[in-house]
Amino acid sequence: MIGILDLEICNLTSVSSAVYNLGFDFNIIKINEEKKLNKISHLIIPGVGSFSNISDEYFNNENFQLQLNDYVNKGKPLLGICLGMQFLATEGFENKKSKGLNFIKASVDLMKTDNSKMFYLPHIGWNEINIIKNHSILKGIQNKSNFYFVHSYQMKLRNKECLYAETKYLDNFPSIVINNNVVGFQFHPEKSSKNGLKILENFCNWNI
Amino acid sequence: MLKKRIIPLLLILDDRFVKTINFNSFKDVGDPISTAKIFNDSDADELILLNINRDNKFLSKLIFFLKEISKECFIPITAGGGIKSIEDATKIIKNGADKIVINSACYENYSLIKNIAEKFGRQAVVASIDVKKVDGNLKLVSNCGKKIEKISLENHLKKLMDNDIGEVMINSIDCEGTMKGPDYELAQKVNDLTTVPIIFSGGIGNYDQIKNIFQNSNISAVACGSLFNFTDSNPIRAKAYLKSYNINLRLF
Repeated sequence: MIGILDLEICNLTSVSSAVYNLGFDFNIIKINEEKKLNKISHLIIPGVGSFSNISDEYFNNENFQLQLNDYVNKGKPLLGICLGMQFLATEGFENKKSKGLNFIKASVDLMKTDNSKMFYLPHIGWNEINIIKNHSILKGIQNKSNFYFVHSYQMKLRNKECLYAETKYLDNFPSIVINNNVVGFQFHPEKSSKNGLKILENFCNWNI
Repeated sequence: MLKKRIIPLLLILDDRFVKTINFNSFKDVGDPISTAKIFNDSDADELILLNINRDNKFLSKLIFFLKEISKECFIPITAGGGIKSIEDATKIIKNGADKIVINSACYENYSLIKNIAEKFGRQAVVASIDVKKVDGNLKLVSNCGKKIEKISLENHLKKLMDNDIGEVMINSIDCEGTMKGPDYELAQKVNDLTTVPIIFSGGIGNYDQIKNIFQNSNISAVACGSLFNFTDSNPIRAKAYLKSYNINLRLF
């Protein structure tokens, strides 16, 4: 059973339909439903919105925090998508300084841009990933495969150990990070056609 | 670097997908959900769904199809046609669109764009502009080709950009559905006047014309209707052709 966290800031249909079409049952989990975390094998945090919103919403719910820390400490797989990936970091600076989950030692800051037509923000569209290190999550994904991105902020890693793929816009930024059982994708796998479905399937099949 | 996009353009009239010529002579091209699924499976980079029924109650049809299509298609979806308010835009986004298209309502109220951009981000707002030649002069046209607007293309684009538009889609009514080739002069003009990404549409009848557009401008995407609806063309074949010309496309 795949859990999908509903922070009520985005449309979950694309993520849940993608998971379902890949042949996995899913359960939508609201922030006050921390007990459901015991019943799932994998958890996905999708994300559209801002870092400060997701942070305020999450840190208002102590029971959920305790249960999610327990879930991650047990070594069960957690995937953050887009803002969901950024929220895995220690802290973020969108709107104001706010706390993140701290599963990945990193901060989240505005991407570099030169305001030209080539490198405007948000970074939106199809772009390549450059695979840095191999991992079972990347099985069947070629180097330089394309994924669909929509974001203006990026993760800045404190150390490169978690970096599995990066993408070039004006500068390189992390597009796949992995720390043991915690995974983050800066792109939207649910909007990235075949590659997106493949990498999502790999996550849902991941047995640690 | 971001990839150039090839986008099937799908027009919804009541319960069916249709195709027009110069915004007239509606031809049935199939069931919306299965057609969208076929494009999803043939490597389209995005889908644009436009409701071309001007009777407002039919926004509900667009929403119905959008909801079903977003369960089957795992690529970005852009949708619109008849959006008049921030509430309409919210409904379209909540039902599965990544971006909304707004056209006629822009002319009456440019700040609507800014308001939608504030709520969903500027990347979520696409302005569609229909143009046609009247006595040799380029005119902007709204309400599905019915109303000629007074504002010039240059001023309209400037106002759109001042109000945080994310992307501009331009369509030549004179070329639309003819497959006789796009208005390259128009493509160049819009390219020179805008600083946001451009989706170009109208008249594209073969892959070589797509190549010309991408090679001679910074245009980010082409939207094709007839090419993909009435021939054995599809985005996979288009990319197979364009690949030989080193155009920066999403090939895998």
